[in-house]
Amino acid sequence: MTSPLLEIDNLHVCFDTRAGTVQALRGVSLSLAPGETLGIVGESGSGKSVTAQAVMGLIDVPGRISEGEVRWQGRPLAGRNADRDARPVWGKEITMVFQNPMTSLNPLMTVGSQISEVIELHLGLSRPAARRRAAELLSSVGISGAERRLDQYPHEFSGGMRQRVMIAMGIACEPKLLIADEPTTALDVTIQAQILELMAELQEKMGLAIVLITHDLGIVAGLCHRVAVMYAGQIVETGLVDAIFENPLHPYTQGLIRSTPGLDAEEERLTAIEGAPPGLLQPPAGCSFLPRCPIGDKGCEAPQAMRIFETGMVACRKAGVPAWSEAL
Amino acid sequence: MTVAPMLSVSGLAVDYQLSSGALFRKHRSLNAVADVSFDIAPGETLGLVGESGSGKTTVGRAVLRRISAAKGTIVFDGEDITRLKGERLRRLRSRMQIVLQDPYTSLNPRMTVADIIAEPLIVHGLASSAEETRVVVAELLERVGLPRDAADRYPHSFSGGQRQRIGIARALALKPSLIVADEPVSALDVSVRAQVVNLMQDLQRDLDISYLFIAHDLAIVRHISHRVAIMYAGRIVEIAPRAAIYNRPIHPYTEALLSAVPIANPKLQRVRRRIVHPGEAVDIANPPSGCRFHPRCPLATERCRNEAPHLLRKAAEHFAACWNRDA
Repeated sequence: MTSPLLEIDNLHVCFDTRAGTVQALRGVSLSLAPGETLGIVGESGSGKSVTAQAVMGLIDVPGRISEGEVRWQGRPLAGRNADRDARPVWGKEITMVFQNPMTSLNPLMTVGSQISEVIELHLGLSRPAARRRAAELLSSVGISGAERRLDQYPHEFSGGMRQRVMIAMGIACEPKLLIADEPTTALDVTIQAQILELMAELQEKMGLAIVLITHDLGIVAGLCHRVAVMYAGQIVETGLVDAIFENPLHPYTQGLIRSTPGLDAEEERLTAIEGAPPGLLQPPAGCSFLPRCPIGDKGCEAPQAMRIFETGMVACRKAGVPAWSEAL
Repeated sequence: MTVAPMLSVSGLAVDYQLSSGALFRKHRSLNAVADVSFDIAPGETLGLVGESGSGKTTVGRAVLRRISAAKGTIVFDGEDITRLKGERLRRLRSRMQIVLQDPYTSLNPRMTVADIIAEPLIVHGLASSAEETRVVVAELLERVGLPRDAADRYPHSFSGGQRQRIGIARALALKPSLIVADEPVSALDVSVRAQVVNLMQDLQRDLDISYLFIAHDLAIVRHISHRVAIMYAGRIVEIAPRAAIYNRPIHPYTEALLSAVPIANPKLQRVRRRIVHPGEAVDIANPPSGCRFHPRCPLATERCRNEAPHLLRKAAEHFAACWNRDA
């Protein structure tokens, strides 16, 4: 395999609040190869978005990276020994698309000037050249009448079209990595399907690596090569998409897949994972899924080491044991 | 169906006033939903699905008489409630309840859980004494799977799933026959969503409640519903028992919608063919003539451009608003 594009190494992120220190990320490690699509799934508060923010250098007071680092093509990008010279990578080689395109576009600027701004800043193009490039970009993300639409404001675009504009901005500088944080959550399902197809197409054409953050397992199934499952600030399982869906090893992953209804199965009852994730002010020392785990025991109260399998890694000493009985 | 329906809606239309933007100019009205008809049997769940702006929430609110119908009739448990007023409307309200989407904003943060759940009892004069109210609240908490000590706490100390349970307990307080659930689980995490869906199914089985389950998530709707209605641009385009909708959709829009749902199976998902109908959802302030789906429909003919189809019977209990396609 080629050398990794992005490496996240034992990353810890804390947020200092009045109630105490929230340990949002507790030792996250990941690596991403060029052109690869990695899905990060997990519930709200599991640390998916904080991971993305750390990679983008967006962790700011009261948050801080307390341990570990993020490396971009081998250079430390974020963390204690971050290389300041590596900073121009953000926004140029690594870009990000957010969930809500209405709040991430400036309502007072035309779409054209917002896209051109990025191009002028990062590629140093002249204004007319940047505008021509912006029009090309709009066409490439499937917006017709690009020339005319450049002079329109965000409110003149529908939700799906706005997300296309965000993606156009995201790929404006031909990045190597696009981080998409719940890019289709605010959209209707038919529009969602269009955006996901667009992302897959761009990836193929540009050789783009994508980190896709989502809570929807169906989206991961269609678009990703690999998945990382997060729970309470840690990665509990990573692996190839097919392997994880076919044979999930961690009890949480098993429960997550079984609690997702399909369009054909005739299940009478969904598998529900009782309880809720632990608070991260005082996260448990051992396995954080233990209170909700049907097969956990005394031995799970100690920190869980990552066990390496043929298709991935799992932080569970009982990995592979079926956790949820057939008849619940 | 031999059983009398709990709810029977026929020919429902709801209009909204649009501000014209200028003073003294005539206000335009927007036809948000029209020609909506369906029945819900006692103990049955009808799933109402559509994309944003399709009018599904409007239908739910009209059924509950929170907004008034411009046309059509709403019959609840044998009584025409379309124009009910005053005390009789108030009494009706105790029998149909709503569960809302966002458990974070739909509960008053300054009230204890006991007060939130007991409020409908007090409003409807059904709480004879403080002691009795406490007992009823305790029963309701147990019913929805919340701990007994939840009664004296405030909403902020509960997770999203637990808050939705509080909302459900409150809706159950008046022993309703019908619950309109408007996207009740779409703000919840996957694992917690299953808890709430299971709870709603248990309650229906034990208490024989009818649900109008409004959602955009086709997989959840399929799981919980007995029958499903699909809305597009303010009209029901197809209604049928769930197996028929999901296995043998008739309307081209239903077909496209189902094919766009991502399924959590990588091998299947990669080879699935999506049925694409170009174009964006219609602007319902300026709807197209005839069938509202015709500009995007591959089967559209002259008739579709001129004449809006009503729900036509295509099979035993399977209705679709399409001139061109049969079961």
